Parts: sequence; C-alpha cells; structure tokens
Amino acid sequence: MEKLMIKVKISDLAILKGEGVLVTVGLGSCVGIALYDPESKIGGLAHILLPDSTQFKSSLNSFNPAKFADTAIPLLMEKMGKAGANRFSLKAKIAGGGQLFAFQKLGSSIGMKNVQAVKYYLNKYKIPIRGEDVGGFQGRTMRLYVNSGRVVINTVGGTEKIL
Amino acid sequence: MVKQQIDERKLDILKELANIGFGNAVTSLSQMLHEEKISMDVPSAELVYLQDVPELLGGAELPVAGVYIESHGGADLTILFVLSLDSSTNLILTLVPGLAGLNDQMGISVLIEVGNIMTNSYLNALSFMTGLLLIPSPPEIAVDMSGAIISTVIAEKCVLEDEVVLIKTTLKSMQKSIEGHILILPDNRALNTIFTLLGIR
Amino acid sequence: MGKRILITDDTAFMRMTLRNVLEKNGYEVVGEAEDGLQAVEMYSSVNPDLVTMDITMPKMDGIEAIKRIMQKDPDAKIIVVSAMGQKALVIEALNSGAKDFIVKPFQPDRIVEALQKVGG
Repeated sequence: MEKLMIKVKISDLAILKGEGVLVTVGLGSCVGIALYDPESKIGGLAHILLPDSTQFKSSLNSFNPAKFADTAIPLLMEKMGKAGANRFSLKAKIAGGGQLFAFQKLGSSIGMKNVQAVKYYLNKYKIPIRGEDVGGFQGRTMRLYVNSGRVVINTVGGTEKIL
Repeated sequence: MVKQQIDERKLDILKELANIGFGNAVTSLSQMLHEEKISMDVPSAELVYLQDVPELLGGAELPVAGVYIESHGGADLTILFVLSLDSSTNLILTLVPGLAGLNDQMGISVLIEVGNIMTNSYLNALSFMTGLLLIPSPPEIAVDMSGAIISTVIAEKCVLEDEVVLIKTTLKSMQKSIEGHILILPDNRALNTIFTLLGIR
Repeated sequence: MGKRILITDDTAFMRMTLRNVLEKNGYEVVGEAEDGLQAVEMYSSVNPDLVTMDITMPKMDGIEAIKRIMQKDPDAKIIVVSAMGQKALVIEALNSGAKDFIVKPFQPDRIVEALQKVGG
C-alpha cells in the first residue's frame, strides 16, 4: 500500500489523518513537536526553531507562527481541531533541542531554551507529554505514524528510538 | 509564500565579492594541500526560503562535517564550511597521513584548522575590498546530519526572516576526491553596510 | 643565540605542524599554549627566547596576549602566525609589540626566515 509521507521543513508544520507518516529531518537545536489524537487518528508535527515569538518583536516582514514554540503549538491544535481532532484527547511527543557545537555546551544554548518553552506551552494547553527524546549532542530525524501515534527517532550512527 | 524581490544588481555584487573571497579561500586550501588543483563553482548569491536552506547540500539527512564561524565587527556574517564524511577523511589524510579520519581528535583538529584558514582567507579578501574589519570567532565543528547542523546554526543566530540571502559555492579536488561547500549567511545590516560602502542603494 | 620557542595556537593540528617545522630547523619547542591566557602564563614559567602567537583564540586573543607579554618583558620576541590577515589587525599586532606577522597558510621557510631575523 502506498504510504503517504509528508515532510515538515524547518519552521513549518503539517497535519495528517488516518494513514501515513509525518517526517521532519534535521532537528539540531530545533524541537519537533508531535501532537496526536488517538480517537480520530489525526496527527500534527511542528519543527520549531525558536522558543518565544514575543521576544522578537523586531521589524519582521512577515510572521511565521510555525517558527516559535509559543505560536506553533496553538496553531497545530487549531488545524487538528478543524480536521476533527478532540483537543482534550491530544497527546504530545517531543524530540530535539540538542547541542551540536562545543560552544553550545558551555552555557544555555537555544536547544535547551526551545525544550523548556515547548514543555511550558504544552503544559499551559494541558497536553500531556507521552514521550520525549531531548537534549544530548546529536541531530535527530522524527517520524510520526498517524495510524498508531508511534514516533520514531533516528540519529546518525545511533540506534532507533521509539516514543 | 511569495518571495520578496531583491535587486539583481545587488546579488551580482555579492557574487563578485564572493568570487574573489572564495577564490582566496580556494588558493589557501590548494596551498595547504601541497598545491593540489582545486576547482570552484561560480558562486551563487540568492534570496532563498529559510526552510529550504537545510536541504541545499544534498539532503538534510546526509551526514557531514560542518565548521562554523561567526564574523563580527564591520559586518555580521555566518560562515559554514561543509564536507561529506568521505571528503573529510580524504582531506584529513592528505594533510596528516595515517590518522583515523574523523575518529581521531587530531583529524577533527585538521578540519577545524582548514575551515579556519579558508574562512579567514575569504574574510581577508572581503575586508580588503570593503575596508571593513571582520573579526572571526574561533571555529566550531559538528559532525552530524547536514540539516541538523544548518538548522542549529540558524537557531543560534536567531534568524527571524523567512527569506535570507545565501551565498554559496562548491569546491572540488579531483585527485583527492574532496568536495566541499561554503555557505555564507550575511545578516541584513551586514548587507546594507556592504552595499552602502560600495555605493549601491 | 636563543632557540627556545613557545608555540601558541588553539588548534592541535597547527601546533603539531609548527612543532615539526621548528624542530626540523633546529629550534627547541619548550611549550605549547592553547590560548592567549596560557601563553601569558607560560611565558613566565617557561621563559622562552621566542614566541609564535595566533590571533583568534578563545579565553584571550593574541593581541591581548601580546600586550601582556610585552608588559612583562619589553624585549619579548613574538611573531604572529595567524589566518587573520586584515590590515587593521596586522597593524595593531605590530603596534602592540609583535616583531612580524605571518599569514596562514605559510611556507615553512617564511617562518624560519622570520625567526632568524628576530634573532633566534
């Protein structure tokens, strides 16, 4: 059977219902947020770059809500809701927020801030986190299978992780 | 998404600056590799969607070595020198035969220094042409998925724009099977500074 | 004539390269510093005749290290070996007390020639 695969790029998000997989590649310091409603089998995946849109009130030509944790999560919820998902059944799985370079390991890197922000906002919207693979020193690929809600994480040269 | 327009003239200037700057970097690399012949693609300077940047070097999942330098001072530029794992190994072995490539601390050090010298050659040329003082950070290295390295650099630099000017070239040493890419992300103020200095509005 | 040299560079590969070139030409490498701060400390403890100094380094850059070493010893013989070759910085390094400035990548002869001129 032809499986539908939707690629989610950096600062982007997408939803899918029933069958298929949402994939995002190259989660370094970025965080991948997978939301899933097991009842309606609707999944959403966001690849956020930065923690908080309100910190960056500069002269932006356009505003991309998928780029920030605080705006990507409600947007994902909204899209999934419109597709028929039950907001109160949503579960989250997150991955990323790593520190790839030595200078990042010295202090508070953007990866750590992203993870903190994602957890903060998921908590704010009362979405339980059912699995996480965050931090560390490697980049990740994240796949959300929408018929099961299973999340698969891959790293270069590492073993596959299932959330 | 509709792409912003940027003056072709400005992009041409950036290409020309890059041609000279990268040319300088390639000369340095050649000298380090015992006068090996290295070819360089004509540099491109384009406005690209930020989302597409991690995919630009042959796929976001491709494992690569990336040497990352930030330059500050007269203009802020982000510079990434990227090589596939095979190219990295070949480069390391050309300079220090007998090492275990990227699995060797000395091998990593070789790559860092090559990235350092090439980046500085580029900055030296750019500095000479614009009169700006461009101060590089000590280089950093990561060996990981191409997409992860690029996205991490973008995140640390807090790139807010959805479209960025990307200047890029590919260089190859046929004999030694070494192929590398240089990516430059200037920030908007840097671009304005450079254009103003060169008399372009 | 003094041939004891302190090498300063943040990259292990460059320190190894310099060591090879210098030892081949009869110099004795009496210390390797990884950053400007170490260079300043080792200058006192090791008391070299000559110093090679990189510019772009963590913790303390080469210009600052040159200034501090010159403060301790106005007769210090420091040669800069750096990838950074921009005019303003070369001038600042020389004004701070460096005797010569070699841009990487370098030919071994150039380093030896520079060291001989400085008097070692």
